[in-house]
Amino acid sequence: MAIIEVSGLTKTFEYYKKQEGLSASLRGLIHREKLLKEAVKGIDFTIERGEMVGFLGPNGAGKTTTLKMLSGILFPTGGKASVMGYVPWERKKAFKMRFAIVMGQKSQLWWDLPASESLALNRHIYELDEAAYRRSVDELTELLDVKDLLGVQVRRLSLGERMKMELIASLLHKPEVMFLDEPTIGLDLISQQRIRDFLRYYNTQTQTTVILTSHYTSDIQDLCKRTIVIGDGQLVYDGPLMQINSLFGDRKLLKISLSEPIDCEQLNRFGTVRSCDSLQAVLEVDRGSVRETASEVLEKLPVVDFNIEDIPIEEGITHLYQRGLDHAHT
Amino acid sequence: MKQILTAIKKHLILWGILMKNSLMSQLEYRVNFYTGMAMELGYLLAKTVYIIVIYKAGIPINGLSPDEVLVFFGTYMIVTASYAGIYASNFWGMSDQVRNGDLDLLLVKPVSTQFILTLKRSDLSCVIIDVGTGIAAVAIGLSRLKLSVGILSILGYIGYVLAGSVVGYALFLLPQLLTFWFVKTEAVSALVDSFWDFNNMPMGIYNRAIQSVGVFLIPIFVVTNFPALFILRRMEPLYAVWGILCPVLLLTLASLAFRFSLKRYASASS
Repeated sequence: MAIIEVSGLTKTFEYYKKQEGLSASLRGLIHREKLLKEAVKGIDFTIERGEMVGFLGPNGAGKTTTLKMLSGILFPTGGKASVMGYVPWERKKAFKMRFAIVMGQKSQLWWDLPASESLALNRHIYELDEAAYRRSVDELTELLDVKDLLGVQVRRLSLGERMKMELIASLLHKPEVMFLDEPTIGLDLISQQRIRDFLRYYNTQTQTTVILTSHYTSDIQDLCKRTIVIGDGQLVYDGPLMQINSLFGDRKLLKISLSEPIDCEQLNRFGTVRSCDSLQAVLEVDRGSVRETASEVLEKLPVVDFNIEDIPIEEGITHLYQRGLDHAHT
Repeated sequence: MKQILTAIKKHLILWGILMKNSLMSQLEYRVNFYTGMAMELGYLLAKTVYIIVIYKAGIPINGLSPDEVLVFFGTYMIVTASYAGIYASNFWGMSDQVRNGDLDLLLVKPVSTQFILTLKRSDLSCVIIDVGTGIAAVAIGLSRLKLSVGILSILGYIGYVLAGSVVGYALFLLPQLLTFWFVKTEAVSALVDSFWDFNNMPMGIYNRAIQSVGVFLIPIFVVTNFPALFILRRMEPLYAVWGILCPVLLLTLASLAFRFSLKRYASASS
């Protein structure tokens, strides 16, 4: 049975536009034209227990708004949602005891105190007994390699170390569902990888259901078998990340380096020329005919090196975003 | 009932930890801490001048002798300390929490959101100094008056001080909730804060109509006048009952208004 069920979830925000200049600001004191922005437009999906699902979408697509509704932070304008059988925005204590949310751009840690003080506070907030709390802290700090940093003032920690502490603070009570909103934002590549390794391990060990939003495709690619793409408040794709490109034709990239300059016009017969600077070229070809095209290219052109690659996943995602926007505007 | 008691116990423990964390945070910055203490002492000195003037003049204020005014003053200091040191800074920060979306992470905690939002931070150094001075002023006033004060009077006084503090909390929280509608409301906070000073003097200096409004409609006088009236045995029976009912009613109203307002919370973009 699904642990998260979402049906027709909608969120509309009120806002107003201000013209440039002081006179417009003064007019705004008297009258403001109220406008409505539909941040989430009736999305539907279900998530099974233990699944790790990636949420992808451009800025303002509605990913975070959806997470905020699922965690009870925001009331929806319409639709239904159930998380572990609870309606999130009823904000029942029993529900709050069983999930966690981590936001890459917000902190629950006390800035001027060592992280251990915030963890101790969470121990009481989540009503953990001393032994269970100690076990969790020991296990998580060991896994994330931050045991020695528990006594260091939070403001003295690096961004990566702080994010690890945020994760520990959120996992102390062993949540069944976790919402991770850009947990690797701003981190260097090594820190991103460490956080990803930890999340993968934790999900495997505990079967915690995870929804992860990130702008880094590698986060989703590494961790989530299933990806939900949101564009302009609508669900535009739900399935494996690697299959996104197949939606736009099964194509491959043929990258070639040449020993002598050629006329780029010559390449048109092999496929779609993506780029060509006389000694380097990238061709887009059908996956089915890639072998024949490659042999023909090797035979007819002075090739010194060549590579066959998948089309970058980001391109498929960009197409999906665009499709979401086009759909919204028609 | 057991669940309620367990919840109260949990929140009291949490409150203790939050106060401890706030104090520890303050102690991290020594210069700022000492400066804050010095500022508090300066504020106390300014207030003491006001008492000296009353004693020098030696004339009763609306039937109250300078010693009785000293008891009012001490009580004002004690309750004001709870306002300034325990919940005012949280109230002032509420608008920012709503505007920046920092309330998000408080909303998901399995505790009362009103509790964590309005009592998270405190300034105990200020509370300790002001409460200490307030108690000293009340004790001096009472001893000069040669009033025999038994244990019941002291307990009753403490009860009305706590009740006054609760009334102050609820009364001053209500206008802050406008932040959920209008987001930035620092000016409202400043305006509302100035009303606190209605308690600076015994309510007897105002005419009967203002007293009635200040006791029953906008019960600002319940905050610091009632404990002093009680210990000075000048409390009317109606006030004695109202002093007990008022915090219950007002806290319930503030709690309902808070829940209603919270539904307006729109967070902020990330």
